[in-house]
Amino acid sequence: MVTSMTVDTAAIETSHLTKVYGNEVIAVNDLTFEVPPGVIFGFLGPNGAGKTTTLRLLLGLQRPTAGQAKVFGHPCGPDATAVRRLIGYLPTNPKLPGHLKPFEYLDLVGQLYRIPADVRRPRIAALLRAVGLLAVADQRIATLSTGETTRLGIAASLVGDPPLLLWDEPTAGLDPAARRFALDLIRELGEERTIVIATHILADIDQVCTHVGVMHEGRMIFCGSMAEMKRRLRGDSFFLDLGATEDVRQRLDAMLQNLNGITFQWLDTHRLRVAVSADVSRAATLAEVLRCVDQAGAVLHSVQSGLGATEDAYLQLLQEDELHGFKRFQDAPRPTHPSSSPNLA
Amino acid sequence: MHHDRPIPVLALTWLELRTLFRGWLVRIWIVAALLLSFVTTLSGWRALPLPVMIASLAFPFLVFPWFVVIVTLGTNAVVATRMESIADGILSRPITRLEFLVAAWLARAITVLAVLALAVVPAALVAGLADRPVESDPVTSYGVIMASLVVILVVLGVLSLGFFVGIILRNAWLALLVVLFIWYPINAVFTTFRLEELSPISLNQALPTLMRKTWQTAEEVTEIRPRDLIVLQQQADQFLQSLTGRPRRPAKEPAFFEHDLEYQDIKPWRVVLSYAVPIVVFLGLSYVCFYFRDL
Repeated sequence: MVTSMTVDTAAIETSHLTKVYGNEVIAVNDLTFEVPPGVIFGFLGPNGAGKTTTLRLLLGLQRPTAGQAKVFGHPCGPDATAVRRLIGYLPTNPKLPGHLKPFEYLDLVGQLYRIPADVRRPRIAALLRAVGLLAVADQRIATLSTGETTRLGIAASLVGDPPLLLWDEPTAGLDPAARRFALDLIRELGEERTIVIATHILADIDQVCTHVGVMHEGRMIFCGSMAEMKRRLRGDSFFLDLGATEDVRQRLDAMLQNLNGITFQWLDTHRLRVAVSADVSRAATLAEVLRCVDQAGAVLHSVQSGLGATEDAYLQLLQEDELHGFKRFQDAPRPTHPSSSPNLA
Repeated sequence: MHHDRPIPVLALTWLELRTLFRGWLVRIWIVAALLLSFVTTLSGWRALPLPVMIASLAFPFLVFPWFVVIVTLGTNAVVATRMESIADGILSRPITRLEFLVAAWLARAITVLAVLALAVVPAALVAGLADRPVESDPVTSYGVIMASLVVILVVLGVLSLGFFVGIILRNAWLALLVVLFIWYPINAVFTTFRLEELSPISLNQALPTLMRKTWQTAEEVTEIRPRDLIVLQQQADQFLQSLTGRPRRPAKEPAFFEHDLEYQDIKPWRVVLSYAVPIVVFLGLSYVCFYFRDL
C-alpha cells in the first residue's frame, strides 16, 4: 500500500508531543521529531524512556496530554482508523486470542482491515508460509511458543500490507534463530516500507537500522542517521584496554594529566577512555598517549576507536543528557529531519 | 473479482461470541439453566397454568440466580485483565472504539438471549402443547409477544448496566458487587414510588396477566384489575350453574400476582421507556468513558 502520499510525506511527525499520567508521571516530554519515509528507524532508549508510550500515542491507543502526532499526514487519535490502516503494529510479547488458530486470527485481523476474502485468504496463507508457521497452523495460539507467537504477531502486522510498521521489541524473548529470522525480515521489509523498531537492544539497531532516535526520560535526545550518531559522538575518543596495577594506573594518570588536548576516564580497572580535543592532532595525541602507557609500565592489550561503537555512543548520549541538567529545559526541541540535521540535545 | 468488504463489527462480534461460548461461565450457565428449567417444568407440571409456568421459567433471568450471571457477562466485557489483549490485538487495528464496544455488547446480548431462549422456549412449548392436568388458562399471541419483549428488555437493561459499571470500575468482580448492592435494594424503592415497571420482580409477577391479554384489552381496558376478573368469573359460573344444573366449581385461589388489589396493569410503553432509554444511556455513557480512556 504505497501511495504518493506515503512516499512524499513524513512517515511520522510529532510536534511537542507530551503524555503525563495523572499529573504524576511524565512518560513523553515535549517530543518533536520526524521519521522520513522508507527508512528503518531504531527507536532506542532504556526501559521507561517512553518508547512504547510514543508508539501507543501514534496508534491512538492513548491520548496526548499536549502536542500532536501525524502518520503520513493524518492526525492520530482514538478513532483515527485511517492512520491505523497505514500501520502494522507488533506489540512486545503480543497477547493474542489463545483459543483461535493462527489462520483464524489472521483472518480476523484481515477483516478488521476490511480486506475482501478473495484477497485476504491467499495473503494469509502466503504470510503463514513466510513466517514459518505452516507447521503449527492447526494448533491453537495458546499452545504456541514465544517465538511462534511473535512470528504470528509479525504476520498480523503485515496482513493489511501497511506502508508503516511499528514493531515494539520484536526480538524480545526470542532464541538466536528466531532473532536472526526477525532481523532478516526487517531488512527485507525495509526495502519497501518504513519500519520503526522500538528496542533497548543495541545490537539489533546496529544490524538493521538506517536511522536512529534515542529517547531518554521521555525526550528525544538524538535523532539522525546511524552514521551521524557514531561519527559525531565517538569520533574524538579512543578506548585502551590495559593490564595495569594500581601503582601503574596512578603513574599513568599523572603522566596523562600533563598532556594537552585530552581528557581521560577509567571506565573500569582495565579500560581507559581518552577523548581528544578537536584542535589537536588525533594521530600525534594517540602516539603521546601510547608513549605514556609504555613509560608507566602498563601492558597494552588493545586500542579501539570510538567509531562504530553504537553502545558507547548511546551511553554517552544518556550521560550527556544527564549532565545537561537545566539546560535540557532551555534547549526546547525543534522539528528536525534525521537525514539532514541531527538533533543533539 | 469478488470485492465484498467485510464488516469489522460482525467479525468482532463473532470473535467475542466464540470467546464467550468457549469460556466456563457460559458453558456452565447453559447446562445449569437447562437443568433449572427442567426442574421448574417438572415441579409445576400438575399445578401451574401456562402463563404462570412461563413466568416461573423467566424468574431466574429477571431476579435470581441468572440475573447475576447476566450482570457478570456485562461487567467482564472491558476490564483491566482483558485490556492488554484488546488494545494490542484489536484496537491497534483500523477499528473505532465504538465498533469494538458495539461488538462486545452485541455478542453478550446474543449470548444472554440465546440462553434465555434455550431455557424458556422449549419448556414453554412442551408445557403449552402437552395435555396437562391443570385448568385451561390460555395465553394470547399478543400477550406472549409483549411478555417476551418485556423480558428481553429487562435482561438487556441489566446487561447494559453491568457493561457500564464494568467499564467504569475496570474490575469485573467489583463491578458485580456494586451492581448487586445497588440493584436489589433499589427494588424496594421502585415499589414504594409505584415504579413497578423498573422492578424485575414486579415485572415477573405481572407476566402471567400480560400473557393472557389480547391486543384489544391491552389497548382499551388498561385499568382492569384481577379482583374484577375473579368476580366476573364467579358470576358467570353461577349463571351457568343455574342454567345447566351442574355443581358449582370450587373457587379458584388467586395466583400470587393477583394478590395486590392495587396492582396497576403494566403498560408496554412505560416498560419500553423504563428499560430501552436506560439501555441507550448506559451504552452512550460506556462509549464516552471508553473513548477517553488510555489503553
